[in-house]
Amino acid sequence: MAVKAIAGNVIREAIRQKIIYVTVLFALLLFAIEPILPSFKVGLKIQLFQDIALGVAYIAIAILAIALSVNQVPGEIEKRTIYNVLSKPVRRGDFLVGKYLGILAVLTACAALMGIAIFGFSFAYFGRLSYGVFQGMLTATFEAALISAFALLISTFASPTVNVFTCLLFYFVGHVKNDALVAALQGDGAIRLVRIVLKYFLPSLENFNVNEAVARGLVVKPLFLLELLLYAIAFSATFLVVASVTLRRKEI
Amino acid sequence: MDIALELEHLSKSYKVGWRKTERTAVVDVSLTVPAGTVFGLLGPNGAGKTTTIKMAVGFLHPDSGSVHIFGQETLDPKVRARIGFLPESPYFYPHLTAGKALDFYARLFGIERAVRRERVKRLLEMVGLSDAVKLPLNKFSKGMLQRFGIAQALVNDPELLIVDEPASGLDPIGQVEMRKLLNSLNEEGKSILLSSHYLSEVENICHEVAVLNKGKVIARGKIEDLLDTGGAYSVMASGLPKSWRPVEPPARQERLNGTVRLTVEKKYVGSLIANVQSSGGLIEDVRKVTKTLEELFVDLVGGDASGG
Repeated sequence: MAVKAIAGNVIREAIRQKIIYVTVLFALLLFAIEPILPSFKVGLKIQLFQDIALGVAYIAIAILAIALSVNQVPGEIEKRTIYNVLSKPVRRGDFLVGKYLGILAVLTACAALMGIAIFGFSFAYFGRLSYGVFQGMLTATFEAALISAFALLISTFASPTVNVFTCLLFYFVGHVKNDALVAALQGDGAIRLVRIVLKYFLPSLENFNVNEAVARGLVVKPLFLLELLLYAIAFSATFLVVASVTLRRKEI
Repeated sequence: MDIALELEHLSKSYKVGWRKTERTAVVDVSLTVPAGTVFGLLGPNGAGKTTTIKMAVGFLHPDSGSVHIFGQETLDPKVRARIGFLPESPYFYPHLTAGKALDFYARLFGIERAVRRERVKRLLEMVGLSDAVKLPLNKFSKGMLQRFGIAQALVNDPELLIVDEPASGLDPIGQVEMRKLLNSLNEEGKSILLSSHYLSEVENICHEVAVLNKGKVIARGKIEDLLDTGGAYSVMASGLPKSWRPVEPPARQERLNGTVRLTVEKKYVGSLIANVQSSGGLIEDVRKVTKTLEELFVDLVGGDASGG
């Protein structure tokens, strides 16, 4: 019940944050005006619209994941609200899981809203029912969930500002990371450490990017979605376990 | 007698600044709070009271020593279900109403909805906030927040209440009300660990106290024992001539508007009374001389108190 209560409180806190409305409204506005931009009048069609719209939605949901997560633990410590929670029979791990589930609920709602908007505009402008959009938003949510877990981990020992930069780096490297990049990092010492971290500890976020396939009208196989889900769960769970251990050792 | 809280040889130091200079906060603090009693932690600012309390609740890890609540480890959730905690200058989620915030804290204990509803109502009534049930906490005054803090600390009907400076920021009436509330909670059987630098609060509520200064316990015991001056008695007499002197030599003699106050050792009290009466004087009062807590505090801490 404690986890549920904490998650509920995160949702209540989140819906008061302006960044959610600004980000989602900005994305919705872009979806709305995108097809009426001059470039679209020269024959570019629904594929381009959906590719760009899904790209915007991916970035928007990642921004929200970072924005909602970086201050959860430092904010509670700074405002001293954490004392009245952790003095109750709440394990520090449960506290983090509650925070995480609350963030996840908000991200899912935002992703669903953006998915409905892209689906609606696709139908309104191009007359096509593109159910694949929701698959794209689903993988975006998986990726955001993973980023959020990473941000929560960093928030257990770093300030929100440091956390934002770390998350942006995580996002960027996670997207450019591929086997060729890892293989290219030959050498000992620090380079070897970077190679190991990249290979085993940093998820390949580009795996979650199915925009192009969705924009082309291809169906993402359910088994692939399941693989992505398990991939996101495995990394998120690892991040949360480490975060829990770090928070347990932390003095507040 | 059962032990509600036992701190054994707690020490804690912090590393501060760029050079990681070690600053000692608490040194070898041991104290025991018997079940059903009110124990006061007294000390000037920076004495180590809050650090001690934070170690008791499990927010800080002691460098050495141990904490047991009802004989168990303090971090065990089952133990935490038996305690209530009010931090110094408590902060809450500001946009929540008093009712919703209290309900949230009750949910952290897994309390059923029907019980929560009844308890939230009863507690807000008890702390005089029943009219503010729908008021967001960011509209509360400092005194209201302090009272709400007590309500959230009692939401699980705890056996041990740990309160850090409960009267901080309260006006005199608020302080008296807080004192009455803590007294009535103790009468209900709750054990209380109270940290305060309000001497009257401690003197009126606590059965035992420990005085901390610079992280060390410098005095500990029952209040009456600490205030005991070692068997001196004060005899007040009137109707004695100005030239009158006692047969037995009193330790001190003061004259105030026709009244004489004589301070003597216990063994001289009987002969002194007889002496006064035989001289035509009237015995107005006889009482054991004790210090006030303020005098004791100044004696113990005196100019040695340091802030921080």
